[in-house]
Formats: sequence, structure tokens, C-alpha cells
Amino acid sequence: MAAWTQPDVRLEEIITQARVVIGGLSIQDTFSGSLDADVAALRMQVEPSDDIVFRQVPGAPTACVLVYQRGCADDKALGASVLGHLRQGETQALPGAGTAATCAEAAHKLFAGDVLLLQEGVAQALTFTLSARLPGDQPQVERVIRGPHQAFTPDLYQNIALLRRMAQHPLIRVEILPLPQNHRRSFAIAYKAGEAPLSVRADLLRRLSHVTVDNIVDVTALKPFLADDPYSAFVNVQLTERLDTAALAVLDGRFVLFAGDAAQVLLLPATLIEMMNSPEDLYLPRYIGDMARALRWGSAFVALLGEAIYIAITTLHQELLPTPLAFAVARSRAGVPLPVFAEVLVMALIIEVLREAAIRLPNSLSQTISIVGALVIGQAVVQAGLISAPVIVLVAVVALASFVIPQYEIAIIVRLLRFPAMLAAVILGLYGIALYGLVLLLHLCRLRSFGVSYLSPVAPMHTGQMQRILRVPLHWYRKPQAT
Amino acid sequence: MKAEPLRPVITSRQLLYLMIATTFPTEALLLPSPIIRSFGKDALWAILGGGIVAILPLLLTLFVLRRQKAETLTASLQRLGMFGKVVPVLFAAAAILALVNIWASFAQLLRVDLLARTPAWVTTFTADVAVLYGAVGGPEVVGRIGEILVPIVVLEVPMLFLLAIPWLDPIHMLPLLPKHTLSLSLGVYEVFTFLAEISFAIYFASFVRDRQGIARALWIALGVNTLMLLLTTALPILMFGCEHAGLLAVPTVTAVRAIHYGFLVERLDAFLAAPWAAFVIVKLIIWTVFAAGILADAFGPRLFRWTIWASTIVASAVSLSLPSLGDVDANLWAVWYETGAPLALIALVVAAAGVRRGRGGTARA
Repeated sequence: MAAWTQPDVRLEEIITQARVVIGGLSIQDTFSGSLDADVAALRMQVEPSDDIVFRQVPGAPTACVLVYQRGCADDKALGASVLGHLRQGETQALPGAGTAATCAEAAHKLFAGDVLLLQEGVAQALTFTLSARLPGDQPQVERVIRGPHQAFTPDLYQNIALLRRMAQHPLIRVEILPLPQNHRRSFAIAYKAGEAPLSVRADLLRRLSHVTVDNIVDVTALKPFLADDPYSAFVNVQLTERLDTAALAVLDGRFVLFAGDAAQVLLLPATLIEMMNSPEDLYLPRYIGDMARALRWGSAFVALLGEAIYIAITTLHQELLPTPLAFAVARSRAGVPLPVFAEVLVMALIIEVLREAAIRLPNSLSQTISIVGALVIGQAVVQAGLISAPVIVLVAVVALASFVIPQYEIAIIVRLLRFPAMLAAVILGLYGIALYGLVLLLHLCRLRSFGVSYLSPVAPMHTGQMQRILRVPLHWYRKPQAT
Repeated sequence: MKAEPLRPVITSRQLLYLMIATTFPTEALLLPSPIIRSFGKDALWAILGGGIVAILPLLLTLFVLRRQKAETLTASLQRLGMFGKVVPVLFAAAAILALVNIWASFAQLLRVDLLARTPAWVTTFTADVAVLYGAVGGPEVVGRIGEILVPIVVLEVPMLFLLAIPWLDPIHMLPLLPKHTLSLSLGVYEVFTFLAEISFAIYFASFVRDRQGIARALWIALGVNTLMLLLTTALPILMFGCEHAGLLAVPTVTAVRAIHYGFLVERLDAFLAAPWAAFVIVKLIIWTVFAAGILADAFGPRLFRWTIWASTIVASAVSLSLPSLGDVDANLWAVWYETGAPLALIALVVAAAGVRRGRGGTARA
């Protein structure tokens, strides 16, 4: 029987939950005018948030503390535009100055990118804006037509600030992780307090503590350390460069892992269903978004089993084809020296080689080479009588279908897994494909991502989360229960 | 997103699917032939009667489950000493007998109907791998796979009926009333032993998180199982008549094969039968998990993997050594209703008596 072990996180959960509850209710929600008490109240409101800086201003006429997000302001910017004014007591001269009467309002403005100034004897926080707009790159890989076109940047604190600004939620917490084994790089996690399961946090910290190597130059290199099943080809974390994908994940109760100055982040837990969804689904009308999802699943099926089904039918189940179609296939295969399995295998391998070559070539050449390569090779093998025309069509359709899968890692796995499917088809026909599909499903059923079933919310079924598969009208929407 | 508890748990919905998956592949592929051959058109009455009588083991199962509450069966029988170990052994023996039965029927189904040209050892070996891989995952994995596959394969049956409408001939159902009361009672018994497999919920229910849903799940499972058996038996009778349908090795597949479409695909038989055949593997996994799990509960967790390996290897080896389907299928079926099912029923009665006494003893103490 499968057994799972996990460190005891109960005490830690209770403590953190208590902090969340205290922070959410805010024992002292209004500012009192006592600097120490106001700083403590604000800390209670925002912590744990390691990206928030509380900085005393030396030389000011009255004692005051600046509070800001590290990604929105730095010492240089503060020194140039703020500290001078403060030392001279000219708070009115600060850019875009406003006030916040309560801790909650102050926290809201703080997370939106404003700088707060708490002063002794002033029962409110002064807020001002330091930078008009945070920079965000254009997504290079996960492009959409509708929706935000904003990606992460190669700066840890700026990424955190971008995420906060996009998510706009006061309960988002950020922790900079102490990794003693890896001094040179900073890691951080962001999550929504009260919704993200703390057992996942503890599990993540435990796994990250095992990162003993120094050659982690990108967040993707962390994947092996985070894997639930080291022998599985499926990834249990979702890589994204899109800001909105990460913000939605955080609001949904998932964790975002930042690593160093990488312009991509990891989302976890990651289920197969989540990774087959595209952020664009939410920005399109409901039926179109659902149709896109259905098309994606259909394409994944074709990419995985299209070639195998062709092999099975033409090799072991010819009786399934209507007579005219059977004759057409037979005519096209006349004179082809290779068996169907070898035909399909050779063409699939050629496509894989072309795809790999297109990635390695410079951008200006890759498109030309892949199109020319596909056309020339396809035309030549058919004319030479080595491969039949239906196989060329089939392999092209399968290659196209594999491009529809939004998550690159899943697309690679599907491409890899179709080869055993072909083998099962040539040996056992359609039964072999069904058996292969069953084993694959069994494997997926066994997989977990940080304690969450990889096939959730289908198996085990969570009816409250079915909008991850099929979008329902908004008034049907039931929010998943907080854990 | 919700992290799940770390010990294996299933939901009552998964229990429902598990109980359907325990019987459905046999209903769809293996059972219609022997019961039509033995009872003709009366088979439908036998199924109805069997379904009604199967309420008894269902009630007994619910009684045991109510008594044992959140405990496993073995834990609740522990107060009875060695006597408490007898029940798991009896259940495991019945399950292993059933496994041999299903393995043998399934291997021959593949040989005769689906993959006549493929060597038997290849089909058996590949099925072995799938069963071992699935069974080692335990009840949780089995529950999830059932949740995904059961709705798909079960829905195939009404879809088949719709597709077969032009080929159905209601005249084959006449006269409606049963002819031979004595043979009908035997038929009722045989179908009852098959539907009494619902009592195997006694093991899987101990993993259910939402216990208030168990009873509803089991009632629905019994209803669905009876209905599916009725439909899969009625289809070949309506298409070919009792005389011809009884001669067929796998009447459902033959029925599908008889439906011609002429559009894109000529026939759908392999498309439909292949998932069903793969679904037999799910059934084998469930029974293997049951046998191994109940023994592991009684005699220690180390037995779990050993039982899985042993039962799979023994059952598949027996299936390889049996001759062709035509000679043995009736005997295979008889192995279940003459030996396996009585063992399981005795185990159920003993368990009911045991939990009653065990609880009483505790209360008195």
C-alpha cells in the first residue's frame, strides 16, 4: 500500500494561521499617533512579507518611519527624491502625497506600490508614489491575443512588486527563503494567507532545503528537487513567465516560487488540468473559452494516440475501415517497402529532428529551414515510394496538434509518450492502445503535486472546482473552500 | 487548491464507481453468454430476481459497516481473536478464486475474439504488468481510476442500444413471462451470487471519508449493476434471439460487430470492445487490491505486496494453462457461483455475527 511521509507541520500551521487571523481582523486598525504602536500595527497587518521594508529616517525633525516594497523603491530613489524633503520637514512636497487613516487602507496602498510615511504624533499614514509605473516585459513564449501582455522581469523584488500590483490582495504574503546551502541566490515564495495550504508551504521548504548544489542558475533547474516522483516524466510544478497567470494562481490558493533574478516563476501545486488551461480562456467569452479548452484536450489526444490508432487500424483492424477507404489506403501503400509501423516511426522521428533543428538555429533561419525541410523531405519520400502520402498527412496533423498544448513541458511529454503507444498498437492493436492508456491513467492517478492529486479536480472529483475544466455562469461560481 | 490527507482515502462517489467497476466488465463481456445459454429468455427474469435477492447481502454489508464505523473490518473483529482472522481469509480466498476465474475468461476472450493472432503469453504478460502497477497503488489509485473510467464505459451501453435500434427485433422477447420456474430459481441464484459482489465494499468502505454517503453509494451501485446486466443481456437477445445469442462466446461484441455504419468506420466493435477489455484490467486490479488489502489488514502490511504478486502470477498462470473458451467457460462461471460466492457469503455472515458480538462484548466490558 502506498505510504506517504511528511514532517509534522501542525504547530507551525497553528502559529501561522493565528498570525493570519490576527492580521486579518487587525487588533488595532486605526493609527494612534504613537510611532512604535503604529509600526507594530502595520507590521501585524502585512507580515510575513519579507519584501516590505520599515526604515527609520535619520535626521528628520520628528521621528518617522518609511515603509515601502523593495521592488518599488530603492535607497537611491528614496535618497534623491524623498529623504531631503523629510529632513527639512517638507512632507507636502512629496510626489502624489495622500493619506491613509487605517492600517488596512495603508496596507492596500503599500501593496499597490505606494510608499508610506509614519510619523510620531500623526494618527495617519502619509502615502506617496515614487515610481509611476513598474516595468514589465512582453511575454515571449506564452503569448495571447486578449488579456494582459505583461511578463516577469529579471529582478526578484521587482517581480514580487509586479505580482502584488497585479493581484491587488491584502492577504498576499511574501517570504524570502533562507537557503544556507545556496548563498548566492535568493528564493522567495508568495501565497495568499488563509487559502494556500500551509502543509504545501512546509513541504516546499523541506524540499528546497535539499538544494545542495550551487549550479542553480535558473528557476527551471529547481524542478528535480521539487519532484514528488523522481521517476515520472510529468512535471509537478508549472513554469510561467506571465504575470497574470501567477497572480491568478496566488489568488486561487497556490504558491509562486521566485528564484534569483529569473524572469520566470514556478507555480505549485500544479495539476494536469491547470497546465492544459491557457490564461486566455478567461479573457474570451465563456463558450469560446470552453471550446478552446475542448480543442486543446482533443489535440492532446490526437498528439498522443493519433499515430498509434492509425497503426492499429491499418495493421490489425482493417475490417473497421469502410471498403472505399480501405482501398484508398491500400492503393497509397502499394510499393511502399516499409511496414506501417516503421513508416510512421521514421516520419515521426524526422519531424522531431526538424523541430529540434528549428530550436537550435538562429531565429532568422529556423522558420525557413523547418518549412523547407518539411516540404522537401515530405515530397521526396513520397516520390521515392518510401513513405505513403496518408502517413505524411497524419504525422503533420499530429505535429500540429502537439503545438496546441499550452505548457511546453507537457507537450514534450506527450510527444515522448506517443512512441510507446505506437509500439503497443503494433503488438496488441486497439486493445493495446486501451491498455497503454489505462497504464498511463494509473500513473497519473498515482501522481501528486505537493499533496494534491495530479488529476484534481477530476479524480478525486471536486464539484466546487469544476470551473477549472468548464467555465460556468458567474452566479453558479462557488469558491473552493479555504483549507 | 486543496491539499489532500496523506493516508489513502476515497470518497463515497469513488466507492460507488468501484462497486460498479467490480462487476461491469463481466456484465458487458463475459456473463451474458452463460446465462443466456442456461436460461434463454428467462435470463432477464433471473437478473431481475437476482437483483432483488442481492438486496440481502447489501443490507448485511450495510449492517457490518454501520457496526464497524470508522474501523477496518479486521480491527473490529480483533476482539474475537483467531476467529476474527477467519473472515479476511475467507474473503481473500473468494477473491482469489474470482481472480482466477476472471483471468481465465479474459485471456480467452482476447485469444478468441480480439487478438487471435497475438500469442497468449504476450496478452497475459502485458495485462500482468498493468494489474501489478495499478494494484500496488492501493485503494486510492483504484478509486480515482474508477472515477474517470466508469462513467465512460457505462455510458457506452445505452449508446449501443441507440445505435442498434434498426437491428432490434422485439419479437425475440415474446412470450414475456418466464417458462420454467425451477430453472429460473437457479438463474436467480447464479445472478444473485454475481451481484452479491457488492459485499466486497466491506473492505473499501473503511477508506471512505464521507461515511454518510456509503449506503446511498451501495444502493445506487446495486441498481446500476442490475440495470447494466439487464441491458447487456437483452441486447443480443433482441438482436439475434435466445437460441443464437446463447451460442455466442461474447454476445455483446458480436452484437456491436453486427452493426454496420459505412461512414468513416465500417464497424465500431474494436473501438468499443478495446476499452471494455482494458476495463477488465481495472476489475482485476480491484479484486487484487481487495484480496491483498484484507489479508494485509489481518496479518500485517508486508503481506500486501506479496499477495498482489502471488495472486497475479498464479491467476495468470492458471489462465494460460486453460484450453479454449468453448470448453471451459461454463465451468469457469460455475467455479464462482459454486465455490467463490458461497465463501464470500459465509464470510459476510460470519463478519456480521462477529461485529455484533464484538460490539456487544465491548459494551458489556
